[in-house]
Amino acid sequence: MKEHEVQERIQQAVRESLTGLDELPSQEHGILEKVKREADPVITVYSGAGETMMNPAFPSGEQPRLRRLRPALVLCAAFVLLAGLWMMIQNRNMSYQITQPDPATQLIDNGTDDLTPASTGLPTPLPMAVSTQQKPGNQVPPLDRVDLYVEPDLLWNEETGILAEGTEIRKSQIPFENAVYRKMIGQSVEGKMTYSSGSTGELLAESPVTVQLGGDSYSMDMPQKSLLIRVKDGLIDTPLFEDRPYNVYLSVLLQNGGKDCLLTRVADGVQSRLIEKYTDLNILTLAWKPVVVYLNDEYWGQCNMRESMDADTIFQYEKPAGSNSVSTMKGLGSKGNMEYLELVNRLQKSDPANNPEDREYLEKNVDIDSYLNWLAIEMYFGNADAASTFFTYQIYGQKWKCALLEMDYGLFNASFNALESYLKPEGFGTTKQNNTIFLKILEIDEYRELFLEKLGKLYQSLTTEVMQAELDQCVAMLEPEMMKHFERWAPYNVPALNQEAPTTAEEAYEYWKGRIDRMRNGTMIKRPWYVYLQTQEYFGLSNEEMMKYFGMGEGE
Amino acid sequence: MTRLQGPESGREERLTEMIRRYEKDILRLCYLYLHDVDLAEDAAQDTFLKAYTHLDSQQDPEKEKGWLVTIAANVCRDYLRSAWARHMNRSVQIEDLPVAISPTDENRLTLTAAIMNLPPKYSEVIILRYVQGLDLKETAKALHITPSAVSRRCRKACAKLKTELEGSEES
Repeated sequence: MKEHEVQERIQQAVRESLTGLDELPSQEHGILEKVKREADPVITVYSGAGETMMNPAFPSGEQPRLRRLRPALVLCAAFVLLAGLWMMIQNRNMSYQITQPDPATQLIDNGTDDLTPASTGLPTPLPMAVSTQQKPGNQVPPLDRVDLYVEPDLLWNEETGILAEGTEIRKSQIPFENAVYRKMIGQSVEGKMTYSSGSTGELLAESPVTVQLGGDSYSMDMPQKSLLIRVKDGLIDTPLFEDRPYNVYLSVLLQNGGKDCLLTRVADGVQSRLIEKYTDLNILTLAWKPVVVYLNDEYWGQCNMRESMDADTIFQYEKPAGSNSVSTMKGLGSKGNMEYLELVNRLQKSDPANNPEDREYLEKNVDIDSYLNWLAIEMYFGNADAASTFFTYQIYGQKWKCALLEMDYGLFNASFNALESYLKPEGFGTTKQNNTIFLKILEIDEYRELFLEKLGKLYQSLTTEVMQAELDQCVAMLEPEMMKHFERWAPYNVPALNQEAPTTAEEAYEYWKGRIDRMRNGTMIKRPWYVYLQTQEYFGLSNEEMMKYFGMGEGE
Repeated sequence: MTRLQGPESGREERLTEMIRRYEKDILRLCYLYLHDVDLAEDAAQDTFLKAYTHLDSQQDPEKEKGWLVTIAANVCRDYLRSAWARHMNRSVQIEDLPVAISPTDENRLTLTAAIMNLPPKYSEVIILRYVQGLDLKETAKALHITPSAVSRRCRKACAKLKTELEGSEES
């Protein structure tokens, strides 16, 4: 076959195979809007006010994309869109109530278009020209400040310092002149931590601590390291997280954002807060709060302060009576907990859907409600990294439960088909980790029903509007700090880790805003829609069944 | 919102024209690279935004498509370098393709999926040279290799496709 014939054949095949793409609406309007926005010198601040949006089941502004435009899905989509149109005509309120923006997360409006953080004597970000739709009087306080003091030699000593260069690092890829990461994982050094209010500068806590590197491999590759802080003697005796009832802490993680550190830096926190604030699903989530960190008085940038997932946190959450031990395991592929592996092995050979004894064993050992909560949440957000961030624990004498560890890759790819990915017979996700427990649970009609109810409730509670409002609140907290943060860290961005991430503060700041815009005005609009369609397709549900689980919005 | 005026509005018109003319081609290219409709839409959008930024550097209408395709290929390669992409299973089955309601010849679907499943260096040469119709020089420029290397890769890519398709027919 001649070359031009090959070309013709290929062109024809590709054009016909991808005709579904031709049916997508043009992005012309969106592109031109972005071009105009970038030509506009005024920087937009995420205000937390939230725009008026439609229920995600019926997005009006942007048509969701169907991965496979099969007739059944198209019919379903047409039905849902028509239903949405009808509801609009009827002027029905189809959305759930959005919590009003927290005044504590608003911006100070000084009467001009320029907004600045409240003056506290603490380091403040560079002046920025920003605009906001906030009402006068709203303000966002500067981030609380964590100071760490560690003998410099313990950090930078070439042989023993936890941040010093090690032999296993390819310096050409990570040109941060003083950093090494992998060699010293697990090694802690002693120091002191102080915690001060961002608003008043008041010292809220002070404690001797140990400091060690935190996070997994991708996070460890970043020049700004995550730091795990453990109290050496006593406790951090202050309520670090306003949305938690706990007043004492033995450890906290100062996280660089993990896999999201070069993207939005808030993805994990937003998702945890959404589950905590807007759902009644009983599952342990880690509190999130952005702070600024100084290491020996040098600016270490914005970090996400998280509760660390350990026995103390589990006990604070569970408050078990008369038990003082807990087994934990992280990652579905982990081989680290023999009891859990025994459970999985036994379940693998069992048939709980048909054999009462097997079912009794499953129900006796696994907290099914907790496992289904985890599965529904990870699926709803479409976390492609769920296999490695899976976390399960068993307090002595109780059943195995799940906790939400990290969702850095949740709300990243709107069309990610989590159902297909997680529940493959050959294993969970691309790495095909052991998903026996989930498969066995879902083989039982009653629990499959319960799972669909949970997924449906998430769909109805975490609407596009709710997710966007929460994102706006979280971003508003970080916004005033970010230019300073990028001045500190952007020059160290490494193309090998992210080709896109810019190396100047101004460009990095714009890139960060762009990633947030992508999540807010892309993923958060499309994701509920995809969950709806993918669930219907995966379980082969009729429109009536979908109505039963997913409903039509408030009051339906 | 500031309205664009003067020279900016001329640039805007040119961008609009480019979007209208090449949007589907670029979206198709991005999908072939990224294997995901959603990401492909993002990448196509990024392509036009980048093109707009560098609009003044490209004045030759005859080279416009090649120039845009090169930008799109670079954008897609950046996406593929991200931690996310490295994490994803990129193999494509024919039922994953975004086909329309009207029936499509299965052989054509199989060929498209086979192109997408080739090792990246072979699939991209097919995408640029045969799907987008760039000439040897333009393809070479987009891939930062020589025209003769493009020819070699095309031959190898076609051979791999042939083997793959014959294998699938047998099975």
